[in-house]
Amino acid sequence: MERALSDVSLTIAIVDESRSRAAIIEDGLREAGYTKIVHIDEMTNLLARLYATDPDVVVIDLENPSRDVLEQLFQVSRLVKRPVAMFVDQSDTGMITKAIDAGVSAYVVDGLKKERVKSILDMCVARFQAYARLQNELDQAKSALEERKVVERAKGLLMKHKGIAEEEAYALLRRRAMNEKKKIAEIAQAVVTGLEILG
Amino acid sequence: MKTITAGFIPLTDAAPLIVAHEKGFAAKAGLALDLVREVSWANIRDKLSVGLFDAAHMIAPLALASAAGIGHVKVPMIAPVTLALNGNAITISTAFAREIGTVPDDPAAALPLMRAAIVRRREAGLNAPTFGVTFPFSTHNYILRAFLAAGGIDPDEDVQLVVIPPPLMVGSLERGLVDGFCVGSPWNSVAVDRGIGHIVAPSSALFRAIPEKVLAIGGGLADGDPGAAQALTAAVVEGAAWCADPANATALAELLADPRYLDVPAPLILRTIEGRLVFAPGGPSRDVPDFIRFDVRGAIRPDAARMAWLYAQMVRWRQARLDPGMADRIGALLRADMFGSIVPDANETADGDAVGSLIEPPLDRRSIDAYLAAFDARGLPTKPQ
Repeated sequence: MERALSDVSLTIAIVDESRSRAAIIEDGLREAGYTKIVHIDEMTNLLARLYATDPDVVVIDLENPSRDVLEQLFQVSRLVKRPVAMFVDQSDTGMITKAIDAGVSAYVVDGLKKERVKSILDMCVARFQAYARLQNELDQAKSALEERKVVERAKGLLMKHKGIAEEEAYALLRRRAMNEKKKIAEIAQAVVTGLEILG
Repeated sequence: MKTITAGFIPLTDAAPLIVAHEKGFAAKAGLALDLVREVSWANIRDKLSVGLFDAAHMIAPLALASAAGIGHVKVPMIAPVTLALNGNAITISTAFAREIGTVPDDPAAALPLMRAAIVRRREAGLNAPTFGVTFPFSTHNYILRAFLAAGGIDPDEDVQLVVIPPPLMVGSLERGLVDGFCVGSPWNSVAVDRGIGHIVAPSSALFRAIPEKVLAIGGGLADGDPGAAQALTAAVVEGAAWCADPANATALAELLADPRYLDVPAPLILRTIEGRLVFAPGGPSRDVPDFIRFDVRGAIRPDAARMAWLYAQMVRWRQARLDPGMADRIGALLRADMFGSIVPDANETADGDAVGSLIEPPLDRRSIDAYLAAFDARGLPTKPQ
């Protein structure tokens, strides 16, 4: 389906203290043809910063305490130039749940049709999920690396203290782990802690 | 054991919910409470709305607004028990305190001084003072507005009110982004302890009994498993009773100080629980009667007359139109029958001035329009108190 020119001319503000996640969202929006994208990563005076960019759509992550600041945008007051609605107000329940679950929320200028911003939110939800997956994999890779390091260290200490070969030291750790139904890294950590205390 | 996921914001008045978990009242009621610390009221509301939370610690006006669909899509919920009364204070920066000259012990006496400072700024071509509140639908917004209005200060014209999340409030005062704020415990005391804030008025010196937070139970649990909703209500009532016992104050402060909960020093929390506030940096502490209340009979019962005051503020400050159907909606939200089955003889206060106003005309819930008639279109009292 061809996108109306007016859609890609929407100004979108991404409020996110994580630069890397904001970059991933921004990439996605640019791929979809949006060009007017503003990233706000400084939360002091957020309202003033938003007014300066005067966005049609605001995307914010749910870890951000400043979400409550945006709630002020619904209020009719002299502070608020263009009243804003929360996207979820106009959306279907499945969509809301998916967005909240992914950790993202969007606010749109009142009067903007749901269809016009649905694709933006869909994209943000997908990118937020992808980012969370990446973060998860990174965390796992980090902890795997840590585990390998501690096993190496335990092996070295055992070799020194017991005067045994590397294979034997490893076999010792593995046997103990199997007997105690624990991970080899846990046994290795105990060995390291214990032997370091003993000196 | 049924698992109940409940969201909370790190504030002293989340205590009955936290205690229900920590002291085993929930477990005794057959519930495993999974408490999730949240960063914003909007998150609390939305996660309750989509069912990611079964229940939550929620500011009373937000529960009222969300249940009635005021300012947001309607969020089905009940609020069968109040978590605490009062506990807020209005604090100004030490710089603004110097600007008004002195901070008198009597909050009402501070108002003319603040008004004069506002006029001086206007005449000097400077920006109007800025005050932080925690949410548009919050006791903090209404208490601060009522206080300013009582002194003839128009909260929409003479000052600027901005929303700031409670944990960022003290930092905003420190950086001079705001001149003052109205926020809950323990943030006022944190500002005083850091030497940057001066408490002008504990909220209990302005109104004796304003419902601060409620236990909000989402429609999913309330309708889907009424037994569990009732059990949760009972566990929280027990939690509040434990919090209200002065013998438990120190233990409660230590419990709340935990990094999983408030993550601020226990002695500071103890001061707010016991109502011994230090008003000025380096100053002595003063006893503040009813600073925060958890007592089962007087404080935590669902009270339609007190909720009516919160609703009247929404109308007074142009967030909602006066709707005669609101009394029924408040009744459906509070479900007084649930609390009544736990504490059978806890009757609601008599009609009349349920919030105990010390600074403005009293409100009778049967005639909200008569109360509103005492204010002009800006929300300022037409007759000085």
